[in-house]
Amino acid sequence: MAVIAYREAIAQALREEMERDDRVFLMGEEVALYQGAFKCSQGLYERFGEKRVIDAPISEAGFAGLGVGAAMAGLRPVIEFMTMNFAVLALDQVINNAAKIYSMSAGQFRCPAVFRGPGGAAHQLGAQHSQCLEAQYAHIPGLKVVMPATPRDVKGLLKSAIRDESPVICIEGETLYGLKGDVPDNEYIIPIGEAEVKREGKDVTLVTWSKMVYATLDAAELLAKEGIDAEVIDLRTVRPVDKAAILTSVAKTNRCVVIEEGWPWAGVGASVAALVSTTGFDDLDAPVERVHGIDGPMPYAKSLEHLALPTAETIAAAAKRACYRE
Amino acid sequence: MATPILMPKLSDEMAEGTIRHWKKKEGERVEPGEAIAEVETSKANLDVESIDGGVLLKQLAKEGQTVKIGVAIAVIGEAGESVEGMVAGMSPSPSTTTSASTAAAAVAAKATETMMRQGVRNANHDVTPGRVKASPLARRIARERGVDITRVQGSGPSGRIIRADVDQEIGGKTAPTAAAVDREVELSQMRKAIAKRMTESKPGVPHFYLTADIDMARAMDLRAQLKEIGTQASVNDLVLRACVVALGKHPQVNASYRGETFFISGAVHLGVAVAIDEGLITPVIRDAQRKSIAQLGTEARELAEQARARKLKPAQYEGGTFTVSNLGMFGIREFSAIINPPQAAILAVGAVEKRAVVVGDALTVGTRMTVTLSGDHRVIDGATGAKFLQTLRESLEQPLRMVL
Repeated sequence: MAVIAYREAIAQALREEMERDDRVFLMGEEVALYQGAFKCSQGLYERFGEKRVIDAPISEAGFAGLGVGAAMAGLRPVIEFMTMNFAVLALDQVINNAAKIYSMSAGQFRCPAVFRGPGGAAHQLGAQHSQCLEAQYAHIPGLKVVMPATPRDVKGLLKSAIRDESPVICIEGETLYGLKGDVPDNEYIIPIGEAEVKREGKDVTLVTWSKMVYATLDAAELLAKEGIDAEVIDLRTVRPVDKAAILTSVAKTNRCVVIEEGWPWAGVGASVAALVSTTGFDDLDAPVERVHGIDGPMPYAKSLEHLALPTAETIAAAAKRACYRE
Repeated sequence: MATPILMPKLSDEMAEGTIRHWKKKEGERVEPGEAIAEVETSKANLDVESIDGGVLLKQLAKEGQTVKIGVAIAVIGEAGESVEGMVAGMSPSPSTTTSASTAAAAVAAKATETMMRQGVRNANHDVTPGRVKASPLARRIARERGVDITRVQGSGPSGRIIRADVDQEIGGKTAPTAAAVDREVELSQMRKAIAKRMTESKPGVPHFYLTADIDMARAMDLRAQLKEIGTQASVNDLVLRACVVALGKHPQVNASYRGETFFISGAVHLGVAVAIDEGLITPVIRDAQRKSIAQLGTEARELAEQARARKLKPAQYEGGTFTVSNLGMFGIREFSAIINPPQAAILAVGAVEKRAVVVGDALTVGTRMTVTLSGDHRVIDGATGAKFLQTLRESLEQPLRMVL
């Protein structure tokens, strides 16, 4: 096991896959000479050269479309968006082309492209640069969406994404890039669609993903002090979601809290809550609780930004409501 | 609008109820959820309450009158409202002829709806009137365990019934550690044939009887030892525990006949026959398989006391899976008990007494108790019953088996 940063794990995944398969290439703003806006492509330009590590102009729709075409023609593009906020400009390519071409061509074309970049709030970046847009992608049939929270998971899932025959969106955590963690020394992948139980517990199931995993684990510690034994599930993939992992846990705990950084309405958390409330109905001893960012544009002020986001305290409070322990 | 209040169905087997006394006079104001009358059923005395507020316009039954369920006993509405048109011919005729009355038929259509809306409460038990709020899990457990959810008091927000409330009603107090598993077993062709022929051969439940003598010397020693450490255990408490052990080993005896199938209960809900002034009732010790000799004894005595005071709630006497009837205290040597349907068996327990017994080739004095198992031949056979008695005897003759 080596302890490396999240951004290094991404660079390792890219390097290993590019070594393994010469159809794999990386394209995006500042990925080559600058080695990535968040330094996720360190050393790749030097190793693979300008044909496989390509600096794109500021034209998200353009280079995303180029990636779709390259994938249809048999290559394995990894398209980096500087942040997922800017990827909104390329939604047409992702939703109308990447996600649809396999079914609309009756299987004649595939689009094995990876679109990746950071999502979520960082620190005082304002409303336009602090968004959790996973619901935009998780909503679309034909796409897969992974949201790894740890260096180990981002490496394993990015490798799976590159090898997958479908278009995969990999949303990284903007504040996670410097996070260090254990990564296995040997070759490994993490399958898309598999959740991980981060902490076992018997009293309440806390379902979350991406960087909210950390606030949720902290909440579990707070709850433990009050005698509530929380189970924390990191979905890791938000489409397709690991339904069995969620329902198995809820069958054990009879209580569920869904935690997400983004907005509440029509989002991934809403869908998880719906799953538990329908398929898991007879296992519930309390309504499914939800914790999420406020339903509004992110404020710039530091104090307000803090209030707008879930914290260990607000998560613990929701878990206590679910346990009738208010 | 004037609305009839109907005789509610307060327990599964209730067919009619007797007005013990009116708690509200005609013309008196009734708050929503307030009791208007106390009703005597075959098992307990319970309050009938109105979910609607208003004025009690008319009492339709006299105190002491017996009324079938679903028949109007009173009318509630606004002060001064005329009830003449509604009441004409509505008063329940005395006793059980009411079902034939046209008035009853007239309100029958409305009966279901009104009964749904009508709050019903046990006299010593607070329940929010109207729709029962319960978590899906609480409902599921109640359904699986045969608990009437309307009788459970909710501790969650707005009185929501949650799992802990149902567990408490069951008597488990804590969540079950290993879930007791119920099984529904298809009747084999032979079983079906036996069932059919046994039923033909004798109307109702085809009983068979097995009698065994049990050497109670060691059981009496154990009882004396328990007393030394400050635990009072009656012979009956030991018998209850021995039954639980034997039922655990022979689950087919812990069963009931259901026509196309027979139902083997995962949990042992032990009925204990209690003689009371008016007759007999069998309160049920829930999940007896989880209880020690001392716990069984304490619970049996508490239930018997409540039974004599007629304070038992339906959940305390419904849903038994096996019954023990002990007449030993009356000096009865042995007897045969009638099975309590739909249970498959009942154990009749006689007195512990000194008898002349043959040990080896010598005549000596021994301590003996005679028990008789009545079995439902549609579900169990003689050999099954005999094996059950064998285990029971082993437990009582070597009582350490029960303590383990």
